[in-house]
Amino acid sequence: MSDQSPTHVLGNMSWPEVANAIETVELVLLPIGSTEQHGPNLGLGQDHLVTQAFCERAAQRLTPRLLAVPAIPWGISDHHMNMAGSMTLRPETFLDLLEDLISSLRHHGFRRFLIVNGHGGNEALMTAAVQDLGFRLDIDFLGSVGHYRLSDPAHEDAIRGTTPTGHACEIEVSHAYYLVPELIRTTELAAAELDHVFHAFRTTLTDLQLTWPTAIDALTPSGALGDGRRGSYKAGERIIESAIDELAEIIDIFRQLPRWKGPPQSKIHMDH
Amino acid sequence: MNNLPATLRLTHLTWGEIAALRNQIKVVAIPIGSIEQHGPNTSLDTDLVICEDLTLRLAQRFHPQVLVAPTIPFGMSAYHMGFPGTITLRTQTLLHVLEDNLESLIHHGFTRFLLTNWHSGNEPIMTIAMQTLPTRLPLDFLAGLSFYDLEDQELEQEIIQSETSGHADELETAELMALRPDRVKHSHLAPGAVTTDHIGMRKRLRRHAIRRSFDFSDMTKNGAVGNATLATPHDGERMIQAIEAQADKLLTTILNAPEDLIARGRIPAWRNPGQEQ
Repeated sequence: MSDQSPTHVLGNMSWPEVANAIETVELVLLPIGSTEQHGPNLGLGQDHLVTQAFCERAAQRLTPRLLAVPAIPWGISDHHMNMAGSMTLRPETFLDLLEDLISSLRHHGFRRFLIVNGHGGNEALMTAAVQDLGFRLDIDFLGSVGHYRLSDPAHEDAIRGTTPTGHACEIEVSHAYYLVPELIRTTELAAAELDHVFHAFRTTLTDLQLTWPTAIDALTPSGALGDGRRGSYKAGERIIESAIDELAEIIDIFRQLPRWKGPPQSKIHMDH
Repeated sequence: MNNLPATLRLTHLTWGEIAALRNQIKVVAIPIGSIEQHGPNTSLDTDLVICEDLTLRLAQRFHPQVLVAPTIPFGMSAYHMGFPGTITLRTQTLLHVLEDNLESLIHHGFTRFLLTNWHSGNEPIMTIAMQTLPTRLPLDFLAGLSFYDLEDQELEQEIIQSETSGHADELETAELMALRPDRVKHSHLAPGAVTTDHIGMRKRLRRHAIRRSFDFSDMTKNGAVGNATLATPHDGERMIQAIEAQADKLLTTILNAPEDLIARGRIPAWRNPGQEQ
């Protein structure tokens, strides 16, 4: 199969191609992200477009074991709603979307799914989806991972500046250089100026283990963190490819887990 | 009011007392529990009673600034359904229960809320609620605390002897002994019947915060992970003290927080344009 083969990206395939893929595909990748402001540095589609491209690249590298489906373009972005263009789902809508996509593909015979996420604000929701849908739907395996948690941290540390990163920063600009370069506003890239009073106050509370989601503009008036100028294509290539390397190994771990081939035939009973 | 109980517990107050207290109450705490198996060692409502007791005791120490709302008894416990008695709510159900509770309390004039928790399975829904409900509700502050996050790490290392621990283990059972000894099945305490096959893999998945659907019965035959036979009330009391010292620091910080910083951090109330700041 050549690199141009479309048989790992569902949106590019015909239905007979999908029918043939059911036998070989071990895991369906469900990309999720957001449509939300990324400062002056990046277009609003960053999180879901990068994640979609990440899944397509992973599925291409591991052909024919993976199938990438189209990304859900929106996520949980209420904390970005003070900035123009950001769109957000209610959690109920998001959970229903995931359930409907998984149910559709299960109907066609796929039984294992991995939610691949590109937006930190979705982490709680995807964990809830895995806890709940993995148990309620008639499927063998449901997992979730942030692609940004798979990469080799050394590649990120090599470009990281002194301002805290995590959104529209040098890491995300590097992702975009490698996967979706048209999102980058090269002449607008700038270092973030954090509100240090708010940052210190928030850190006091989180150090005492409080969870307190807050509006992004309270921390950074531009909506960006880090220093987008430090991002590069080379860094993006290293970060993304190292994450796909790790994903391949993680999938081999999944294959050894007890539920990979479905729930046991007989229920386990307590001994006493 | 002269004869107010020393802990403000909504279910034990009259409506007249609530109305009279409204301006003295700075934070309403909403405990979230679970009804899930804890091996042969402790009752199904272990998480519920630990969370409720720690919340009531916190309210007592900060009397009369903290009102304790009714405990939400059920949580997200789907992965314990392999063991009889466990009850689990769907994410949407929990979200709506939290929304309706908050909306009712807001109607009565309260605007600052702390969700309290003792069950890690509830963390996602708590975060989802805190991320999204401020868009729908005219509240000023909504934050969450899982009390076990305040456990002292050194003391934990001293108490926990098991290689694998974390559920109905020597620490949790000790904490319950300190708070509610009647919930401990003293004559049935048993170490977890843990299957050790996948421990290394589980660690690697955890390092990347990878989640996957699983059933607790894949990991332990009796539902416990850790060794409850090592639990002592004394260890439990020491850890509860450590948790409460940290909880007091946190609540003091919240109660003294500058109004403008709380207001700036607030998730925008964009779904209620009339109430937008």
